[in-house]
Amino acid sequence: MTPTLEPPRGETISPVPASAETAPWPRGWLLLILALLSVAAWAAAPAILRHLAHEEPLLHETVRLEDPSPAGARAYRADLEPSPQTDRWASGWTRVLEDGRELERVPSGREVRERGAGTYTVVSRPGAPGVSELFVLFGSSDDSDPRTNGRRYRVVRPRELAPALAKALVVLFLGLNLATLVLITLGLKRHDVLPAAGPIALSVVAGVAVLALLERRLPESTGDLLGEKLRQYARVAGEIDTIFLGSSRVYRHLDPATFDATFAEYGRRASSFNLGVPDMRILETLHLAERLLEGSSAIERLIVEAEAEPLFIREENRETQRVRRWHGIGTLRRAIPAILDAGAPWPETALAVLDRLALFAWRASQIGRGLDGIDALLDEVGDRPARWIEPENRGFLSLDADRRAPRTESDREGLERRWRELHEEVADWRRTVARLRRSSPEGELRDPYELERFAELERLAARHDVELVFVLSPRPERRPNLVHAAEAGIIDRLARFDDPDRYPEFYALDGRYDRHHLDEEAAKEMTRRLALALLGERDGPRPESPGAGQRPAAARP
Amino acid sequence: MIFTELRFLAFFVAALAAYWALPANRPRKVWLLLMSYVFYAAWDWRFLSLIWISTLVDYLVGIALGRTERAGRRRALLIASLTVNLGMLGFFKYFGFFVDSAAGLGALLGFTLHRSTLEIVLPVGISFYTFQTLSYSIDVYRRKIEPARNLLDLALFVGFFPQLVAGPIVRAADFLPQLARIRRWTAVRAAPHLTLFLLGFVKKACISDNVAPSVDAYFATPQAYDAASAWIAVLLYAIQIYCDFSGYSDMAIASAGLLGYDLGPNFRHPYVAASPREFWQRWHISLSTWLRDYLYIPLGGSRRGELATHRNLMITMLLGGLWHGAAWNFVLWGAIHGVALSAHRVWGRWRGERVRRTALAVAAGVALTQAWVCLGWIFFRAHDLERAWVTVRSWLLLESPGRTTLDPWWWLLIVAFAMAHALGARGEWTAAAARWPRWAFAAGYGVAVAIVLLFVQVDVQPFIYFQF
Repeated sequence: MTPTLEPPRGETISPVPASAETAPWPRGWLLLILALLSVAAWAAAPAILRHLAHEEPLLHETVRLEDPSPAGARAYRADLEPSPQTDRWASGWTRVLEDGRELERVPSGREVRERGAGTYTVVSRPGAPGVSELFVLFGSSDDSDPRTNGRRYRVVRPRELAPALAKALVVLFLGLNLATLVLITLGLKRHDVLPAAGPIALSVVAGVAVLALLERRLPESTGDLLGEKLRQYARVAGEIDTIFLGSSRVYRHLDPATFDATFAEYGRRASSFNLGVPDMRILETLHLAERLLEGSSAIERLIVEAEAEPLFIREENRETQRVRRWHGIGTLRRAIPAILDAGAPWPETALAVLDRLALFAWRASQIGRGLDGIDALLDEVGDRPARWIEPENRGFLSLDADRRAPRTESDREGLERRWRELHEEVADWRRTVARLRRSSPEGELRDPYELERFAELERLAARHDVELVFVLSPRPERRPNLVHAAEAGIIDRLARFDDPDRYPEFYALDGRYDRHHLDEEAAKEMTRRLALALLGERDGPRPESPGAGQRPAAARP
Repeated sequence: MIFTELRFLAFFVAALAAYWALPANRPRKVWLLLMSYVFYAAWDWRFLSLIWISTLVDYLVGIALGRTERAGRRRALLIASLTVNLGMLGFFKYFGFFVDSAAGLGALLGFTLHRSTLEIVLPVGISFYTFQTLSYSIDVYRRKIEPARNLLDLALFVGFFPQLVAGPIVRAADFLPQLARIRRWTAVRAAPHLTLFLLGFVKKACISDNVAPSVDAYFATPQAYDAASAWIAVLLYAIQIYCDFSGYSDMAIASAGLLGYDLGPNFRHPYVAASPREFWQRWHISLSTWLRDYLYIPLGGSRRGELATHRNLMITMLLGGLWHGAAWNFVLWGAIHGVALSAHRVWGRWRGERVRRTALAVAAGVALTQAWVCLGWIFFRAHDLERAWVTVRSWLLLESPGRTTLDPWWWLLIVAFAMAHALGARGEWTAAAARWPRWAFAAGYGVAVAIVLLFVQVDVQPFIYFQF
């Protein structure tokens, strides 16, 4: 099977061509040096970019802690130089050393005061406009007074790279690579390798053409929750007229059975399916909405949450099939302007763009989608059991139900921890609700780019003659941009449940599972209210807010 | 850095382009050497020092061997080389094994021995490059090759990135002469090498990585599965380890080939072998020939009577097993193959001309050989002897311990693999690619890559043989 390297005439070791050995040598050495420098630059580039983007620092500075002052119990406070804009970065990576040995970092000042004994924490608080107050709270390793115990206390923290130096590094990187590329091209031409570029280009074109052809014809991944939901949906797509799309606040709140039953009570037919999954944002929603509407003419109603798109994809989601799934060309076209418009510092912008490009490349390469096809086929033929959610649930699974029968031990622990975080920190939740009551329920323009995405969803729905309803769950924070979109008439219908005065039952402890989600009973009640709102009944979202079933004044032509 | 990763592709394209653009042999070799070290440093730069020590010691020993004719001095130099190389291998790979085994033996005899608390990390590829450097010193000692006069050449022989971490185990006699002259692009047959690379990629990323989760699940708790699943798991593991290792070898050979160097074959469809002897002529050829030339033959081979031959076979296979890993299951695996080779030798001598080599006899030979090979794989893969024994009993249908089942659809893959493997043994498919018109090959290659990508397992598994 191994190919014979050498041609049949036995030219195993070719005689040195005179031209090659007597070639103008300095260019060869120059190429070698430049190529090695380029390799070094590529090896160093990710770390430098992460430093510039304030992710993981590469450069540090050591500062002596001057004049620590007592800060209660065993803690001492030492102020650090304010760090404009980068307080989170600086505080997150700052370490406190006692005689060169790092003390134990703890999450809060309270813990430092209680424990002392070589603990520290770094605190960053808003100070003057644009500047944060930064200080450390620490206790010496033996709870002695750090001012008199004779030990040296220092902090090691990230050091900003001078902007001019950062730009010089970028220019150097690009120049080095360009020069290497030119010399390589000249060298390849000289050694008759360049003609191979034609077949390579043809190969790439042929491969890309096949991948582009397969883009829409391949099934989506079934290896995750959304994949399983899509597969279950595909089996009943012909009879589904209402789709719920959004994050876990849709997944855990909107029960198709309750929705359909409420419609039936009023003599109307509805057959709904919940395609919500945790952390679904607006670009994923758009991607899915496009594919669903193109794939089924039965859909009459889309109920979407449309969460704001972050600059960066969450680290833990970055390499998942699901995130790759929706990073098609449409998403890339929408995401890049959003990143460029976000006004982040250029290294962060560059990293975010690279991130999206990498995800798009992954999607476009269709890696593993044939396996998904086989998997889907075997699921159908083999009638395999559901992994996440039973088909009769139509995509809905309340957190209570999940907790009653968790799939794994870590799932069980996670679900119980979330419940405890709310029900054992009651005062904290009450403060949250009080803050929410004080905040303005009015709309506010925060992100023009997002408005364009809302409008795009509206256009999509109009094109397919589908009723589109945005929904705001009983959440612990406002969503002013979406409300603004409703007030400005950019979106037609918004069902709001995010008012603790109007819906106290959804903000009461016995109606909630955790800080962000309702329990099963309240979720079904919210579903019923939503259905009623769509039916135009009185129990829906209050009429004076831009609500479902009622077009806001600004939306009227 | 794994051959199936995107970053290897970027690394290799850069290495290849600059290599062929450089105008003379010396800077090309410098470039390849430094890129090889970059490749290794991507694993763990700290262990580069071991490669440098091994290279430098063997270079100096080689030079010294070239300057002396005194037998005693030559032997001392060889012992110095063996001590350094085997010492490093022994320390990093076998220290924990021997200490734990001694402690276990002590416990059996009623002594309590304190086990070592040293956590020694196994440097990637140490078994492979140690065997390469050993073969160099021994060959120079035996005067089969001239010592390398150029440190750069020897360093590249040891550190050449395509074969650095998992072979093939290249001989200095084959590789060093190739470094003497500049390679010409026009002499490189790119199409077969590109085809071989893609084939290796398919074996690793599309087959081995896809069966790995099911195999891992079974061997973690064989007692939870039924007997049918034991069959599936054992056969899948046979497929996995072949595709994993031969896939790596294919990509290594192809990468070297595209740089103009020939590494020689490492696999020739081992699962069509009709005897244990033939299996070892087809499986990990560079290791089996190394063991033959530097262990089996020096022990006396088959020249010192029948009993000594069996002893030599058994020693060779036991040490071959131990080479794979510092654990008793690898020793047992070696013993299984040693017994098979001995039994086959006895059978061969008894049979003489009595049994005609009919198709039925060959088929029976293949079935028996591969059943024995699979038995060996059980011990090779099992986490411990207890679970290996559960698997063996289940595999022999003596019991069906659990109720969990592996997906029966795996039988489709097993049958398809068997057919493709048998078919592949019948022809030089990669060489056939060279007969295609250039443009047709290019377009076809692009389409093939696109289709292959569809079946790539996203969760990349490290190559099995990296741990050896």
